[in-house]
Amino acid sequence: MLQMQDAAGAKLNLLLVEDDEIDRKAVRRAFHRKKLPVHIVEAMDGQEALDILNGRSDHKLPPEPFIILLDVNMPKMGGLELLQQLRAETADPKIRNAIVFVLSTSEAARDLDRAYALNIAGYLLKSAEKGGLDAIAEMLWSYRQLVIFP
Amino acid sequence: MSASDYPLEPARQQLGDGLSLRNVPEPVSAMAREGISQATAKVSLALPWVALVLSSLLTVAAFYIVKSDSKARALERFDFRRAQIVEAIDERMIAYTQALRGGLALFRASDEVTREDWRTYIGTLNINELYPGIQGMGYAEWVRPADRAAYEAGIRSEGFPDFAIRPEGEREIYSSIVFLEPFDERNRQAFGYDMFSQETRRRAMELARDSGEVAISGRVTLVQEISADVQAGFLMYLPYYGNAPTPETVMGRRAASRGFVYSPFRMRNLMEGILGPGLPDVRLEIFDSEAVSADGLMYDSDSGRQSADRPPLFQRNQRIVIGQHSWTLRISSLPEFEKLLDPQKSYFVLIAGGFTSLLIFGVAWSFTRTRQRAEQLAADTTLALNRHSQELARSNEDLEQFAYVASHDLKAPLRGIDNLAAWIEEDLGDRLEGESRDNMRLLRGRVRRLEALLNDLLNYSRARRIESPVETVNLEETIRATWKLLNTATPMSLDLQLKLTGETADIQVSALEQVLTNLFSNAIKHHDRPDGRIFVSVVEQPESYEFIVGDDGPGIPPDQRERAFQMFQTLRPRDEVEGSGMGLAIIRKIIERMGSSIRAEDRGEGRGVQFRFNWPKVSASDLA
Repeated sequence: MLQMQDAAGAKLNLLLVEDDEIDRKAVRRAFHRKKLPVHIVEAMDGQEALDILNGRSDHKLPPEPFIILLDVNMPKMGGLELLQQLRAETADPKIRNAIVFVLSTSEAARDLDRAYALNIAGYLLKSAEKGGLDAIAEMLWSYRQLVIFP
Repeated sequence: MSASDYPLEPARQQLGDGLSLRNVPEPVSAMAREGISQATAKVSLALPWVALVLSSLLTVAAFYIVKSDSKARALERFDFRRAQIVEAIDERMIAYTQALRGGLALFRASDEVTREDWRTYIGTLNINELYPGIQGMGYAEWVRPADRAAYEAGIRSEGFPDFAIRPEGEREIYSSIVFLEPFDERNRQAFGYDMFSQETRRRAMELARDSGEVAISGRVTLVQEISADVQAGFLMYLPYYGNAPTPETVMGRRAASRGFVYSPFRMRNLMEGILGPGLPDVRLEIFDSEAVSADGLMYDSDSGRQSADRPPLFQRNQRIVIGQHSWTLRISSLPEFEKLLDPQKSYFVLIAGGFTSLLIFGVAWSFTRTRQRAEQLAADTTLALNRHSQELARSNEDLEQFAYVASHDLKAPLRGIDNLAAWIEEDLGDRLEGESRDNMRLLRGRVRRLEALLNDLLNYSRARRIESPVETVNLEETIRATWKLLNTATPMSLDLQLKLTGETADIQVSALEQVLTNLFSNAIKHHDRPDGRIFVSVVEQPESYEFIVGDDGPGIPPDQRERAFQMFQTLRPRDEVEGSGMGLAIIRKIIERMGSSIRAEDRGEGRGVQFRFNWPKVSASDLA
C-alpha cells in the first residue's frame, strides 16, 4: 500500500486488481513519477478483490469514491469474471456502480467487447506506446478531478 | 504472469493475454467434461446402427427407384411395341380389303368375268409377292337347287370333268367357288366347295350379304389344308350385287346378292407375312373372340417355345375389329424383351448398396469401438494423462497455437524485465556509469530484440489463422500507402519505382499488406546505399496478379536463397542488422496459404534481388 498526501486536491483512491508484482509496481511508480497523490489498495486476483469489496478481507476498501483498476488475466478469478460479479443484479448497489477501468495487454476484440458490455469506464492497454502508464496515471488523476462519482 | 481459466470459454482462453500452458482447468470443469464424454459415448454407440439403418434404407429406396424406373421405361417400350404390332396388322388387313375391292370392281365393271379375266387380274395383283399370307382370291356364286345340274355341267364343259358342288346333298341354296386364283394344288381343293353349307363361313357370308360390307369369318380350317401343316384360317368376303348400285335395304341386298369376292387366309402365313417369321421379343396370340379363350386361339407367334412355364412380366390384351369381326390380340413380353429391362442394374444397386451399408457400419463400428476403448483408457488414467493424450492428438495447428501462446506468455515477463531495467536506470540516474551503463544499454537492446522476435513469432503463428477479408482496392494506392508507412520510419529513404497494370482489384488486402510490409522492410533494412531504389511491378493475369518486388541492394547469394525463407534464419549477424529471421518465413506462409508460392531471383543487373509471387484474385463466389 502506498499513500501520498496532497493538500491541494482530492486524493485519488484506487483498488488495483493485478496479479503481477511488477505491473503493480509500475502503476505505483507512474503515480510517484508524476507526483500524483494516490491511495492504492491492492488485490492479487479477482477473488481477493471481491473479498475486499464485500468487507471479508483484512485489507480495507479505499475510502470512497474510488476507482477500480482491473487486470483481465489473473489466477483464481479473472478480471472479466470479477466484473460479472460486480455487475450482477444481486450485487450491492454500491459495488454495482463502481467505476472500473480495465488495464490489460490483451487487444483481443473479444475481451474488449465483453469488458465494455459490463459497463467499464475504459479499456486501457499496458503497452509503452502513447505515454504508457505515466499517461494513464495522469488520465486517472484528471478523471478523478473532473468526473462526478455515483 | 500466470493466468486463470475463463470458466465461460476455457478452450479459447489461449487468445487472451498471457495464458500459461501450466495452467490447468479446475477439477470441476474436468468432471463436467467427463459427464459430457459419457453422453457422447452413448450417442456414438448408436452411431454405427443409425448409419446402418440409414444407408440400408437408402439402398432399398435406390433399388426401388432404379427398378421402378427401368420397369416404367420397359413398360413404355412394351406399349410402343404393342402399338407397332397392332398397327401393322390393321394396315395390312386394310390393304387386303382394298385388294378384294379391286376384285369386286372388276366384276362390277364387266358384263361378264371369265375365268381367264380373273386369272389375269389376280396374276397382275401378284398376290404371292405383294400380299403375303393371302391364300388366294376367289369368287363364289349362288346356285339354286333347280339350276345345280345345269351349272355343274357348264363348268365341267370348261374342261373340269370332275367338277361338282361339294359337299353333296340337297340344300335350299348352294354357293359355289367358281374362281380361285392362283389355281394351284391347294386352291383346287376348294373348287366347287359350298362355303354356305358350313356354319362359320355362312355367318360371315350372311353378314357380308346383308350389310354390303366386308365381313370376315371366325376361325375355320380351310378346305385347302391338305398337308400336315394344318393352320387356323379365316375368310374375308365382299358381297357382289351385280352391276347395279348396292341396294339400300337388307331385303333389297338379299334379293340382289349374286355372290362374293373372297379371300381365304391361313393365319400363320398371314401373320408371318405381316410381322416376319417369329417375333423374338414378344409373343402375339390372336383369339377369334372378344375375349381370350383357349379354343378360340388362331395364332400364337411363340407356339410355347420360349414362354413355357413362366408368367410374362408384361401382358396386354387388345381387341381389334376387322371386317365386322372381333379378334383379341394378346401380347406378352418374352425373355428377350425382359432382358432389356436389365433387372441386374437394380440388383447391382441392391448388392453394392448393401455392401456399402455394411462397410459403413463396419467403419463406424470399429471407429466407435476404437473411440470407446480410447475413452475407456482415458477415463482410467489420470486427468493429466488424459490432457496429455489430447495434446498428443493435436496437429500442426496446435503447434502454431503453442507458438502464439508461448510467445504471448513470454512477452509478459520480458516486459517486466524491461520495466525493471528502466527503473534501475531511472533510479540510479547519473550514478550509472562506465561499463555498467554500457551493459544496461546492451541489456535493454537484447530485451527489445527478444521482444521483436516474439512479435514475429506471433505474426508467424497468426499467418495461417488471420482471416483477411476481400476488399476492392486500388492497387497502386495500396502499395504506395504501405511503402510510405515504412519508408518514413527509417533513417534511410529509398526510391519506390512502381509499374502496374490493372487498377482496382478484389483481393485479400490486409494479407497482401503484410507481405509487402515485410518485403519492403527487408529491402530497407538490408540496403547498403543511401540512394537505393526499390522496384515493384504488378501484372494482371487471368486469375491473379503477378507481383515482383525487387531492390538494388546487396542481394542474396543464390545458395542462401532457400535458407532465407526458413524460420529464424538471418543472413547477417543480428548485432549488425536487427531482425528475427522470421520475415520471409511469414511471407512464404501467407502466400502458400493463398495457394501460391514465392521465389527469390536475380534482378539481372548484377545487384539486388527480386521476389516473384502471384496474388490470387478472389471473386465473391469463391468465398460463398
